[in-house]
Amino acid sequence: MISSMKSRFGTFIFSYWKPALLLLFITPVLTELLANNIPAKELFRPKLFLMLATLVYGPVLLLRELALRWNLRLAGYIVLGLVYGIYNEGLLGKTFFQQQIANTTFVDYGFVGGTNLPWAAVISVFHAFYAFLFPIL
Amino acid sequence: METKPWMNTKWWIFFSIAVFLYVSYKFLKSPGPASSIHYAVLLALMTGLVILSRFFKGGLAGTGKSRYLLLLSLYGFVFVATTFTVSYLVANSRVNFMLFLAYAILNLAIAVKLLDKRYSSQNLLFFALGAQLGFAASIILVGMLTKSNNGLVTASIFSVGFAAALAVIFFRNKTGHKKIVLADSGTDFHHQE
Repeated sequence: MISSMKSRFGTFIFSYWKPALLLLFITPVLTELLANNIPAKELFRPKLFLMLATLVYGPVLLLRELALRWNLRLAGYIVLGLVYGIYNEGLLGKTFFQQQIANTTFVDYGFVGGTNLPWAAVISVFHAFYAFLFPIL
Repeated sequence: METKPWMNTKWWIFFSIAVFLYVSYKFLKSPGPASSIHYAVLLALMTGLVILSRFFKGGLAGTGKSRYLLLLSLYGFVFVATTFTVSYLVANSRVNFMLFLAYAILNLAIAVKLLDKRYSSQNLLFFALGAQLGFAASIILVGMLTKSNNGLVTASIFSVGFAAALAVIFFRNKTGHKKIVLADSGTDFHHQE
């Protein structure tokens, strides 16, 4: 009964809800844990993990659906990955616009128009692969 | 990778709008060092990239093991291209930079070759394995000769691990019942017993 209800609820939003949930679960792990950005003890705090899996990395699922519906090839996936990078670090984290960031390599140069251009370039590419391409492939 | 959409279209639209509104609200409410002009530029850039992505149609080539190899190659490429270019900027070591550049190009070449259906998967796996082992040996040698820094050690470990992963794929592919063969027609690799 319960599994039937779960299944109905799942198919209400997702045709394949299990792989979709798995993607939402593994994306923060691959990006934050394996890239050594957030320690495991912090990452698996329920509140933080839920936020990461939905608001921060949820758009990975939305972009994946877009890529499949448009039947994109690899280059298209990478371009959509860059869109995700801009979403994560530009809109959500706003690290594009910070002069002082954790990675000190980018502190002293390339700050143009209030934007840390070298950091924006590197971190967008990072997210395109680590947060978008690797989990969905 | 599952090749079917997982999500119903109306819910996709609903969630996309919800995410967009949430992020816009958060950004404009507390922009920090950014301004609304930055916000407009980012939105324009994202829209432009989404439109650009539509020019790259055709689907992904390869399935199963060839896809995993592609993934590994891309991982190697990005790992080197981001992490070690940054370490070059800090350490300013030309030897490191040239080695890692070569490694990045090698991995990218493997990834591109995987999408080329003229090559059989067996040959590609063999090529990739040989290339990775050769590269691992050379950077370990350079590391020993120059008593170099942690970057080389990390890359050596990574490269050996990469080669080991390829070896597992290669030998499982060679001795197992399943073999990847090139399809007579179409763009995908197919598994057959």
